[in-house]
Amino acid sequence: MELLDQLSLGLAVALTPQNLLYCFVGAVLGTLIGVLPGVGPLATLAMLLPITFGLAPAGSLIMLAGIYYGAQYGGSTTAILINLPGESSAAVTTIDGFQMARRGRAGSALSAAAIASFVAGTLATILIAVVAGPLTELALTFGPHEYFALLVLGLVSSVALAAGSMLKGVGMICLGLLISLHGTDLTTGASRFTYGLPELRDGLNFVAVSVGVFAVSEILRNFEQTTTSQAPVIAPKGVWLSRNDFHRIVGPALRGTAIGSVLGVLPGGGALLSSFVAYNVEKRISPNAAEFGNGAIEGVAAPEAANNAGAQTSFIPMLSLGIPSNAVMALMIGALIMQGIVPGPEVATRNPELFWGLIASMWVGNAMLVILNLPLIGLWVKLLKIPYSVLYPAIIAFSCIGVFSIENSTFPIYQVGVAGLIGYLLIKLEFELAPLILGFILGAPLEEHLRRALLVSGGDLTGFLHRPISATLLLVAAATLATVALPTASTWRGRVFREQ
Amino acid sequence: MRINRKEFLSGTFLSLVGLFYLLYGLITLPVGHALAMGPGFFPLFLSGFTIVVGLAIAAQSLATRPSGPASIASARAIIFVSLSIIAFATLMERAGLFPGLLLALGLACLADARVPWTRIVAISVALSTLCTTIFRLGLKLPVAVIGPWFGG
Repeated sequence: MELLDQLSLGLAVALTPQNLLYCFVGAVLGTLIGVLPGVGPLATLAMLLPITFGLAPAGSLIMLAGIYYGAQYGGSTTAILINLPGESSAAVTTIDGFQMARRGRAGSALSAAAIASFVAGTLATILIAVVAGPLTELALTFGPHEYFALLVLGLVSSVALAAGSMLKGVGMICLGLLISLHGTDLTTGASRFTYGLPELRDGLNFVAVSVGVFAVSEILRNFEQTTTSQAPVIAPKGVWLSRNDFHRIVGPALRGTAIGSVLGVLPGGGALLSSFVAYNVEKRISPNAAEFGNGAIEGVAAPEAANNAGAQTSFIPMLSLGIPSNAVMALMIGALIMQGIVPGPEVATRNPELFWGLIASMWVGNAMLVILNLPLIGLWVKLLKIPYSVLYPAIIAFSCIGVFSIENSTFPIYQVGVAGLIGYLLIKLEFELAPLILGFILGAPLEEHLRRALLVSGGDLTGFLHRPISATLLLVAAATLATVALPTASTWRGRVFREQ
Repeated sequence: MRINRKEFLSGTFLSLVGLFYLLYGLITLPVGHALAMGPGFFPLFLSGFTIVVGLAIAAQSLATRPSGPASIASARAIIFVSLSIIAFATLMERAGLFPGLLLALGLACLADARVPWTRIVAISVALSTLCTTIFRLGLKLPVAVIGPWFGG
């Protein structure tokens, strides 16, 4: 069966000593930084992107993916131990996870999170393997009209499902698209918005902008609190689950996986939305519903399974279609581009070892996380005590040097500064930053497909509506915009994202 | 008139950015037409759309209630973080990796008003050494540890 062949190719790639090492390093680095207070996964990924450029494409993506779910795991650890989610998708875990820790059951909470995540990761990997291939084949039949429509739909739905005002989300997409214009227009060779600076001929540096927008602005945001309370860390005493615990988490873990897998594929969905929905569903149907909010282990297992499944399935649109469903996937696409690989359905056929190797290594990475992290809990607890006053200068230093190392040029470092300031301004104006990066990444392909589409249809804009697939996709995009603008939808979105 | 100032500023900001791209694009780039898109075609429509979205956000602000005051990082923090990055970018190649890091880290630490200067020195020296070791010795980054300014 073709799928088995593909999976064995993937495993062969993922299990080479080199890629195992990269996976391991990624997972450990990711967990390490995910555990550190005040550093989110986006900042982590953006900061560590330059390190991966020296590696082969497969190795680089494997390490990045490892960093991603490592950071997720680290975020859950802080959520349980100090009631501070290391990243947003772990926010729901704090509700019952911290309560369990307060009752002396931190170890069980951590184990439940790890095992639920592993189960979710395994099932999600299988799902990806099954779905990615056929989806890619479908996408290969697309012409420029369909691609353009698909990109538009991807961008629109990414703001529909995410938090924040939709109109402002669209505004951020536009801003991202605008800043992607800087540089040379590949088709005509014209220099655009370079202000006469030769350094700008290649456009703005993607890593520099990401690091500035996510890492530096986050640092500035952390300076808003005038009081820093070093939260008491509750050290776990043991990490085993009782038999009863084990039985209790099976159902929630499986349900969370299902919810996360579905919601993760949708642009703008991913880990955050999945964990919220899974928690609420579990609360509604659990026989132990009364315990929720006071340390119900199901309240940890369900969202953890959901956010891990969501994180992994969000790779599907990226791998098969070249469409990022969230900012993390945009960073992955950026990494691919910098490795010289054009993201899209051709990746599966032209670089099958990359495609299947990455899928297989996700499972390997999940296994590593479970095996390594539970014994290393003591180390993570110590890391939690590092004061932020030491951390943020280190972040600045690492980011700047990392950005320098991409092209051995200091010009991108200035971009980091400017992006950081603008990013902070946007945060203060209550704009979401993820759509900005999505727009930045998709600007070039969007224009390219539009150009080709107009060429094919002889300059006729209605060509988009004459072709059934592109017409459908554009209609769905318009419908999404309209539905989310309705007052009922906005109250629902408000409730989902304010659940505490 | 009740107006949500933050929303109004957001919309205006976006529209102004769009306007900049629109005007600069129109002046410097040929637009072409649908069959043969010039480099200015996409920027024109995109910036136009952005201006519209910005105006819509600003218009919406006229109907929403003002939100409470937002906290904002101290001017000191913003200034020193920015200075730190700029200093590093400007000095790294001329002064060398280690001196550049020392200055950049020192400036970064100064962003936090509460840290005593002894700690600033300690952190700067420690982190500079760490980074130099990792990036120069470990990852073989092609940049001088001590640069031309100091005779390197």
